[in-house]
Amino acid sequence: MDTDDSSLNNADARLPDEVSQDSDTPRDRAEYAAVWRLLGRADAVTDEAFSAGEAWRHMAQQVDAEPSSGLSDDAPGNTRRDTAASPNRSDRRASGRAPVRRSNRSKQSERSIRRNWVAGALLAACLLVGAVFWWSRPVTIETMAGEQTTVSLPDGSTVDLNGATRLTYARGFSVLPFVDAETRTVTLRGEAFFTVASADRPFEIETANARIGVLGTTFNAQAYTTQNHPTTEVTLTSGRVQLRSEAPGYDPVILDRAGQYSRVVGTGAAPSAPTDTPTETAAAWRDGGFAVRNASLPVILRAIEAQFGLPIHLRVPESDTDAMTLHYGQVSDPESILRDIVAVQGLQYRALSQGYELVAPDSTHPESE
Amino acid sequence: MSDSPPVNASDGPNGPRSDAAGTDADTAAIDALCERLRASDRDAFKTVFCQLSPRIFRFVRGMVASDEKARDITQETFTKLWSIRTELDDVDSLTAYVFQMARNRVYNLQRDEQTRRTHETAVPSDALGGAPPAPDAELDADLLRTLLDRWIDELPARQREALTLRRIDGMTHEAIADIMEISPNTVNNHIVRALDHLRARLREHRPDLLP
Repeated sequence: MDTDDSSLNNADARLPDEVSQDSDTPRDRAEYAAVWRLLGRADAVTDEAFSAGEAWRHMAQQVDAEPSSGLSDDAPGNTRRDTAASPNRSDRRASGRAPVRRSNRSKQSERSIRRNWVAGALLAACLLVGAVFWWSRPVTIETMAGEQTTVSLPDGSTVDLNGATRLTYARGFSVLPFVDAETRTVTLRGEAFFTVASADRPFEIETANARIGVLGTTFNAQAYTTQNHPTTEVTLTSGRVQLRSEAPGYDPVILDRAGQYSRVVGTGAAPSAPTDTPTETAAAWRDGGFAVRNASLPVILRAIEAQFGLPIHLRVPESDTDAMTLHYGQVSDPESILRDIVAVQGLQYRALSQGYELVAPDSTHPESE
Repeated sequence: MSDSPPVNASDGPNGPRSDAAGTDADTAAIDALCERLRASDRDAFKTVFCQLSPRIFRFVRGMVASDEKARDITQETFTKLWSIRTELDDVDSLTAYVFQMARNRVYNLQRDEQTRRTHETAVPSDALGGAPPAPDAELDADLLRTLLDRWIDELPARQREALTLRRIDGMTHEAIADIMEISPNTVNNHIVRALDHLRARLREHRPDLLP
């Protein structure tokens, strides 16, 4: 910095050295000095907008200290406030509850300390109970009809949920925080594709009428109830799965080859013997397709409704319809499935304000919604 | 904060930063109170508050263009300081720490307001620049403040922070570098760019204020 700068600096005592670089022309320096001077003048306005003494009076209430009488006793060397201040505070606090005798002052403050302790302990207990309660409530993930989602489970397994599906499991797969449950158990209503991570404890899926037990595998599981008739279906993609009826007295069925399929239909029924099925139909829904195997029409319509969020009403008796097997690799328009169904079943479909209805071909008067 | 001389300190002892030296001493005194503050000493807190709050206010006021907001943020900063006083054990410099707390508060507030602001239409930037020019000496201090607020508001946040800290009692580059957690050279760059921007704005809108 040269002498010119010094004179400038003297003109304005706060010109920063940032502006005093070799590359700067005297004009630059003069202009920077002007900017700096203007800033200084603006700052002077700012200084008037704040009074530490006043601010402290607000602050003092918050730190439970008595307000200062002004800036004058805000000096750093300020003497300690006289000790009467603290009891006064506790008096103030206690006065809302009962008249306080001055002579009881210390006892009173002891009591209020104890009361604080008790309050603190109660609060902690409440929080603990709340936390345990929160933990003990199962986690539920639910998709709307027409919606699909993927869920990561605490053990690293992933589950793809098809539409209108509910998956429930114990938080952290544990009975208490940090206490693992014996099995990783989830409850399934709807359809989901499981990719189960290997672990030393079994993974179990509970449905309304069956249990699926696995140890590290991928498979598609369906558990739905149509007309009070629970059905559970499993199609294996890889690994090994055990399907067991909820009803006692039936042997479980083991699926251990890709594409194998078994189901439990209704309560108190045995799982069907494993049959082979093309693997690509197992979870066609995951890739935007649609597949059902030898399913009754109500079951098919329920599946369409769940996957595409499209309500479909069957206006003919189930006995007049046949079971079907369908497989679409890609479904761009759910209506195309309906077209195929009515062609095969000899029915008609009609659009409603929401969704469709399937009716007999000669039906001319649609039932109003 | 550091006792070492500022990076560009070619000024003599009577240079522009004679007041800054006093600030450093204050800073050391405040930092020394950290221990007492940690022990919930209200007097220590009061001292820290009364010494530091005007500086924090000026700093915050440089970052937000409203006295009211700056007052609130200052108050909140110290309320927070009091509430975390027992956790201050690994704090190097209490002063720098309090400045950082205030800075973070400002940024949080601005981030929250950003969302709201995007839905509002921007005020033309020359709305205030078009005010009738008045001679430098007679320019109303409040109007000047408003003008500068607008232009400072256009600065990138880090430049604005560096410039504002530099204006607090002529804070040294080291002190600023401490608070901003960047190198003193970067501090310098921020300040030079900020001043350049303000100068350009003045040339554009109020050339009468420049020599």
